[in-house]
This record gives sequence, structure tokens and C-alpha cells, in this order.
Amino acid sequence: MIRRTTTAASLAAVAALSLTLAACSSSASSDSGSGDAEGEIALGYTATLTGDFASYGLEMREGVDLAVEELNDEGGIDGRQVKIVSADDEGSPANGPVVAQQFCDDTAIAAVLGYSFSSVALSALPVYDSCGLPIVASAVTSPELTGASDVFFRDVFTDAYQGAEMGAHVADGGVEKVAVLYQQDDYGQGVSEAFSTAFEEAGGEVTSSQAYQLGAVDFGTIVNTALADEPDAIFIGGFYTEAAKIATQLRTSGSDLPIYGTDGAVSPDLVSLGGDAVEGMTVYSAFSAAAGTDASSAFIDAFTAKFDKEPSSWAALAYDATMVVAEAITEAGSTDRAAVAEALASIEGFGGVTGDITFDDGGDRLGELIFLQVDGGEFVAAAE
Amino acid sequence: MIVKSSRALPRLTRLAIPAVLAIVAVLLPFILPGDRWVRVAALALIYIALASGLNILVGLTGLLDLGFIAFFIVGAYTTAILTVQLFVNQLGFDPDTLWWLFPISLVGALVLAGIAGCILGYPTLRARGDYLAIMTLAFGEIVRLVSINWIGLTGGSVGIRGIPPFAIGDLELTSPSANYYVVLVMVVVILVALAGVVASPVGRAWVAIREDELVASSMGIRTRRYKLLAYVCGASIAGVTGVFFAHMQQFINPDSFTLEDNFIVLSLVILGGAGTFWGPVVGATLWIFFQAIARDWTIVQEHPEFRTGFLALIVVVLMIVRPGGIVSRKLKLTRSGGDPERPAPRTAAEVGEPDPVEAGAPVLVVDAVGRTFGGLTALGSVSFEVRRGEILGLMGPNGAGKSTLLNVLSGVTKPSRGSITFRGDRIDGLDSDRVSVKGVARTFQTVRLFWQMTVLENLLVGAHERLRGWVPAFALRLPRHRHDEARALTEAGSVLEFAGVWDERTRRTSTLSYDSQRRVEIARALMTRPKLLLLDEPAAGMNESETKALASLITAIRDSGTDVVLIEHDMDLLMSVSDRIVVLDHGEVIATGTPDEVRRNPAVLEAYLGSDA
Repeated sequence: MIRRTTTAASLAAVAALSLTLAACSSSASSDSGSGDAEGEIALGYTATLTGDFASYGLEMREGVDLAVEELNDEGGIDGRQVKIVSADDEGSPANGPVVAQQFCDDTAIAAVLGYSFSSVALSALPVYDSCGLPIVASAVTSPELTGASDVFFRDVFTDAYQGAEMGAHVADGGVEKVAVLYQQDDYGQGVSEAFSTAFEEAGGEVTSSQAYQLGAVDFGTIVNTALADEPDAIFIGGFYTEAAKIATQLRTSGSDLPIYGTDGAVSPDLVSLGGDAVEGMTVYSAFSAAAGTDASSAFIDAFTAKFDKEPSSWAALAYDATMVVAEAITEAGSTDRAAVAEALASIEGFGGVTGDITFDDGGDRLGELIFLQVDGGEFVAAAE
Repeated sequence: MIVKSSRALPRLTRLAIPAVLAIVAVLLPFILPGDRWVRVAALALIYIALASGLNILVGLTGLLDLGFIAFFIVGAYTTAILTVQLFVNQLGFDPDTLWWLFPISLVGALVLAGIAGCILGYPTLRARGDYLAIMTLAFGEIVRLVSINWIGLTGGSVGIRGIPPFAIGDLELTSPSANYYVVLVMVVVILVALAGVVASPVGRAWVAIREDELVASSMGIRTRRYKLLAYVCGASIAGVTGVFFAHMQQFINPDSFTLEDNFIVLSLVILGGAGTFWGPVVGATLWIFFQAIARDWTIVQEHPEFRTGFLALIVVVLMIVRPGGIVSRKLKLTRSGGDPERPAPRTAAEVGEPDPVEAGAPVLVVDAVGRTFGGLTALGSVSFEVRRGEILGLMGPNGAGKSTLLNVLSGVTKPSRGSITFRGDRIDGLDSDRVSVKGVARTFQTVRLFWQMTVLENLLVGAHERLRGWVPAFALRLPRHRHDEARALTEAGSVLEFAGVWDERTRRTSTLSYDSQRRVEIARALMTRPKLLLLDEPAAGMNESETKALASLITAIRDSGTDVVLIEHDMDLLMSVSDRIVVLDHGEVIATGTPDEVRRNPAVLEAYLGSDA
């Protein structure tokens, strides 16, 4: 008797599951069907939308939503309305292929936006490769993604690219000798190595290169070591908390050398922690409200009107990614995935709110960083 | 002919569920509405394997493991490091030609995860409850942190990319359906092997340990060894699953194996039904599919956090409605159904080979045995002997040390001094499982059966020593073991008939009457084929007619060739069945003799009635 009821129960469960799936399939296929019939273009959006690391994904989504709203207000792409199909990857690489397959299966989807974690994107790439669906990601910076797939693009600068740009910028500014301090992890190490290489190529000399732990408190020793070689400037490859402490230590030691930081230091907290010590410090960012271009101020106005807050750089990058995809679809003249991917690869100097966008052969972004300087406790565009 | 069909029928119904599920599983890629769902199904298969592996520990053996994912990590990184780091990066092989490396990776992962299981299992053998949970949690974190920080080997947080997909020769199995079928083969092999092991002495030993560790060891089961084995088996399954996962994803990094995954897999086991065979399968399938289905809901599209909250709510409601999990179908601990025909009564001739010891010669010699607990002397210096062919009654007022003596004789507690010799071998200092193997069986003062098992399964645990074997042999279901098991079941049938409870053989022991429980406990002890049986107050709680029937059973046990030591408060029973009686008081033997001698002994009268008598 017990056996029979459990058999019946498990069969019922299987039946229920298949019914639910069948229902899903009919709704999914009617979705894609209606998408084609009404001329709607769907864009996939996936990121980590729940859990501890949801903020990047939610901020990107705001940028995407604003872009879609603006596109549709102006009649869509080639007269076709744009809609977003969203999927939460939960930050789990195991979900990468599942979500990718979902987008691949939905024939209405022309391109995919988002991605919070490099690992999720990396696990999804084999699936995208198999269906040729292009991706323009906005928050994943791993060097492993460079050239990992023909259909993968990103409008966020890689750590290596940003470090190299900073190295060239510092050398251009007439600095000849730099002492490097970096946070001991893949971010700090990656950005500092690229900085050092670029700086030396530009004829500069790196007098010393020292690592510190994330969360360290006392920087007396490494600051003294750095100053011992009499450098012209200090470069800190790390986040704002430690950068502020290093700056304070430096000023306490009586040094007034110029300090250069990275995008990891771009936070209002840098100023509140560092105070006068970080005054004049130079950092970089892909996007800043202080950049003051027409495109960016229009974006900031629209964003603030819609969400009642200032956009983060993730929102700006995702906004640009959406616009770049729209441009590529227009260029391609269709939503054919191969054509869109090809159009994305040949995008050149697209004017986004985060500056001009071009993709190199590895799918990485080429473009100008925005250099910022702390002035009176605010980040302002650095004087050339 | 009729007998045959009645035997074949339960076998058919037993195979019905696996057959239906197998057909559904094979047809699934054609039923499912798109490749996305095939990928979900493949992921569900991975979680089925993990949950089934963890179920060995948590469900069958009753050992908590909060760091189970560690073994999954070991498996995934074994193949990634071997294939990508060694063969592609170091030795310069083309990844497309490395399909032959896959089986080697599998074996490597099996061995390494098994070793990891040993390393984790060994120190945790003595720990229980909270301590065990913390230890396993810490172990899991150690493995995870190694995978993050040993950058040279594991690629650190970047992970390892470019793991070749499944392939046979030049045929790459990259499509979602191909991936699904490859993982399905793995899951089927794991489940078939697991079912074989569960319905074997190994599975019964695990469940026996979960049910009552002390009783399990008194049945001759080396409990620590079997707990360790549970860790090794669970770990090996997770390791193998890790290899398949790595090749399915073609990329691994520490993000795939978070602390949270440990709790998810544990939840799947509990949700589906811990300790059942299909529970983990049902739990993992429903969870993974509903998680994916919920992604499409409009409300989840707008508010992604609703999905997590909703799924958590389902779990809470399910746990309230079905606290034992979705599946309640009892685990099959033996594949044979037992003989449907009532066995012929046992005759003395078939009871075993002739005993070399002559009747009346001492078989158990207890010499000056003492036992002290802290400052309390439970046994002073006890000496007596049990002779071949007798029932030795052991009596004494409450607190005289009878139960302590029985525990010392059966190896549950070690004597502080003195020696115990059984048929020429010293057995003091042996663990209770070894004492059992030497031929000394016991029952307990309060009935201690394996309550979740049927009567026959309880008896098969008693036959553990004769049936035990090598795990792979059970996993492969070698016919020799099936044959042995069938023989043991026939023997169990006749022992049950002998003990007068054959009619109850297929019932769960928790549903039996008290009298039957007592008899089943005796029958289970007899299944170890003891030469000496220690009975601890078997008549406690029985009425007069039941006690009378018990007396004839005890006599029959003696007559069939097993000597008996009987502790009993019921004087009528003790006096009527005992050939000789030893009287204990305050941890010392105060009298030995025939029932008549003891009855007249003034020291005994004094001990029982006070000095004035």
C-alpha cells in the first residue's frame, strides 16, 4: 500500500513537472513568436541580482532600463521596440551555461548584456560560442576573458588596460621615478604590473614595488622603504581604505610627493578617510559625473530624473553597452546574431557616456580613461 | 509454479519505479521544451549525484557533514589540473585529443576524494553532534581556501579554463543533450551501485550504526571502520561527480564551490527524505527545476529577490507538512524477499558442526574480574565459569553488579583487572564487535532493535560477519553475494520459526508487540551463530504465560547447542530453567550451585531478605 501510494505520488510529481514545463515552453515559444511578429527586439540581461553581490547587477540593470526607455521613446531600433529578458545567475558559475542556453534558445534575443562575475561569464562562453549570440558585458574585468570568444565584448576597461593607461599618463606628466605599492590580490597585482610595464616603456623607472595585505593598518615600514629611493611620485594599486591610510602615512612622514591611485580608490570614502592627505591625489575611472562631457551630463540628468540618484559607473557602462548593441543592430540591418557580432567587432569610436567605445580583437574596450584629481574634497577632472 | 510467480511479482513492482524513472530520464531531452531545460536537467543530475553521496553520510549512517562540497572540489580540480595544467600547459598536448585522459581522471578523482574522505573521517570518528559539524565545516573551508590560494596549481580565484568537453575519439559531445546523456550515465551507474551497496551488509551496517551504535557493534560490526567507509564512499561519489561537472562546464573556479553549496546539498537531502533511496533524487530534481522555472515568472523578472524568498518559503512549508522529507518509501536493505514457505522446525542435527568441547567442560572462565568506575567498585573480584551445555543463571539484588558483569563479558566495558577466557582465548580487552565474532552474543535489558528495519533485516544484521565483503563487489552485485544473502535469509527464516516469530518477518520491528520484540532480539542474537548467549532480563515486562513460553525457548536454545547466561529478576523463571546459578552481591560472588543449593544458601537469603532471616 505504501509502495503504491509513493509510486503514484512520484508519477504525479513527474507529471506535474512536465505539465509546468510544457506550460513554460508554450509561453516561451509564444514570447519569441510574438517578438518576431510585432517586430520586437529582445535583449538578454543576466547578472547576479540576489545575494551579497547583487548591487553591481542591480545598478547595471538601471542603466540598461534607462537606455531601453530612451530607445523605445525614439521609436526603437529601426522602428522595432526593444524589450529585456532578465535572468539571475545568482553568482554561480553552474548557472552560467543554463542562462546562456536560455538566451540561445530564445530566437528573439539578438544580444546579451550584463554579467557581474567573470567566472559566470567564462562558464557561459562555450554555450554562446555554439549559438553565436554576442555579449557586451559591463562589469567583468578578468584577463582570462580577453580573446576568450569571438562573440564576447566588454565596454568595461580591463585592469591591465587601465593600469597601462595610468602608467603612460604618469610618464607623460613628467614623472621619472615612481615607487609602487599594491594590494596583494589579482586586482592590485594585475593593475600594478600593467602600470609598471607601461611606465618603464615610456622611459620611467620603478624604484621599488611592494605588496601589502587588504585590511592592513600600519604602512610605516613600506612607506619608508618606498621613500628611501627618492622617487618623484607614489603609485598605489589598491582600494580606497588602504590608499587613504598610505597617503596619511606619507604626509605624516613629511613627504609631499604626488600620489597616483586607481579606480579602486574612487570613492567618497577616500576623502573622508584621507582628509587633507589625499588632496591633489590623481586617480582614474571609466566614468565620472565630473567628466563634464555633453553626453555624460545628459545621461546623468536623465538617470537622476528616473531613479532619483546619481548613476554609478556600472549603470553608465551598462547604458553604453545597450546603446552600442542598438548601434550594432542598426549597422547590421537585422537581428541576425552573426551579423550583430560582426557589427560589434567593427564599432569604432562610438560616442558613449563613458567616452568613445572601440573593441579590440580580444573583445576588450579601447578608449580614453578619465583622470580625476581630488580638489577641495571632490573628484574633479584632472588638469592636463 | 505458483510459488515462482508470487516471488517474481514483488520483484516486478520493485523495479517499476526505477524503470519508469529510467524511461522518463532517457526521453527527457525529447520531452523538454528546449535546450535550456536540457541543461537544467544535466545540472539537476549533478545535484542528484551529490545529494545521493551526502545521503550515505547524513541519511544512512547518521553522520553530519557540512563540508561535503570539499570532495566535489577535489574531483573537479583533479581533472582540471591533470588535463589542463599538466597535459596541455606542461606537456603541450592538444586539448581536443585528450579524451582518453578522462577515465584516468575519474580513477584519480575517485582515489583522491576517497583519501580526502579518510582524512576527514578519521579524526571525526570520535566526535558527535556539534563537534562533528564544526570539524566537517572547517575541513570543507580548508579545501576551498587551498583552491583559492594555491594559485600556481589551481589558478587561484581565476580558476582553470579550457577543460576539454566530453568526447569519444574525434566525436565531441558538446551539445546539451550529449552532455545530459553523459551525466545521466554517471548518475545511473552511481545509483545502481549505491542500491547494490545499500542492500548489502555494508548498507545494513550503516543503518544499524545510525539506529544504535552499541547494538551494531554487539552484532560484530566494526562501527568505526564502517563510519570511515561511509565517508570514503560519499567522498568518492562527490569526487567522480566533480570530474563530470568540470568537463561539462569546461571551466572551474572557486565561485562554483561556495560554503552555501554545502547547505544547499544538505537541504536537498533533507527535503527529499534523508535515509531514503529516492529522496535525494526527488529533492534535487524538484529543487533545480523549480528554481529554473521560477526565473520566468513575471514577478521574478521585475523583482529577482522574490524567487529566493519564494523558494525558501516552499522549503519551510514542506518541512512543516512533511518533516521526514518528500519521499517516505523505506530503504530496501536486502534485495531478496525471503523464503515464502514456512521453514521446517530446526533439528539439533542442522545446528552446526559438532562442538569439540565436551559437555560439562568449562567454556567461559571468568577469573578475578573487577571493574571500578572512578572511586566506585562495581565488581570486586568475580570468578566463575560457564560449562558446555548449561544455562547459567546470574542473580543478585539490585546494584549487585549483574549488568556491569554482562557489559564486561560482552566487551562493552573493559574490566579493570582479572581475565576472561572463552574457549581458550582471552576476550577481556576486546571490543564488543570482536567478542561477538568470537561467538558471544547478547541481548539488552531494554529491547534494543533497529526500529526502522524489518524483522528480517534485523536478523540479517546479525549475520553480518558471514556476509561482509568488499564494497565494489556489492556495488557490482556479484552473484556470489546474492547467493550468500539468500542463504542467510533462509537461515533467518528458520531462526525466526525457532523463536516463534516467523509470521512477523516482514514487519517493521517498531510495530511488533512487546513479546515479539523480545523474541526478535533473541533471534537476532542467534543469527550471529553464538556459542554463548548472554540474556539480560529477557522476561522483564512479560506476563505469566509469555514468561512460560520464553522459558521453553531458552531451554531450546541450550538444547540446540548454545550455552546461555541468564540474568533474571523473575525467580520462578530463573530457578526453573537454570542448570546452575551464580549469585552476586556488592560486586562479589557470594554463592554458586544448583538452584536447590542456592535457594538454601544462608548468604543468599541474607543478601535478599536481610540479616535477620
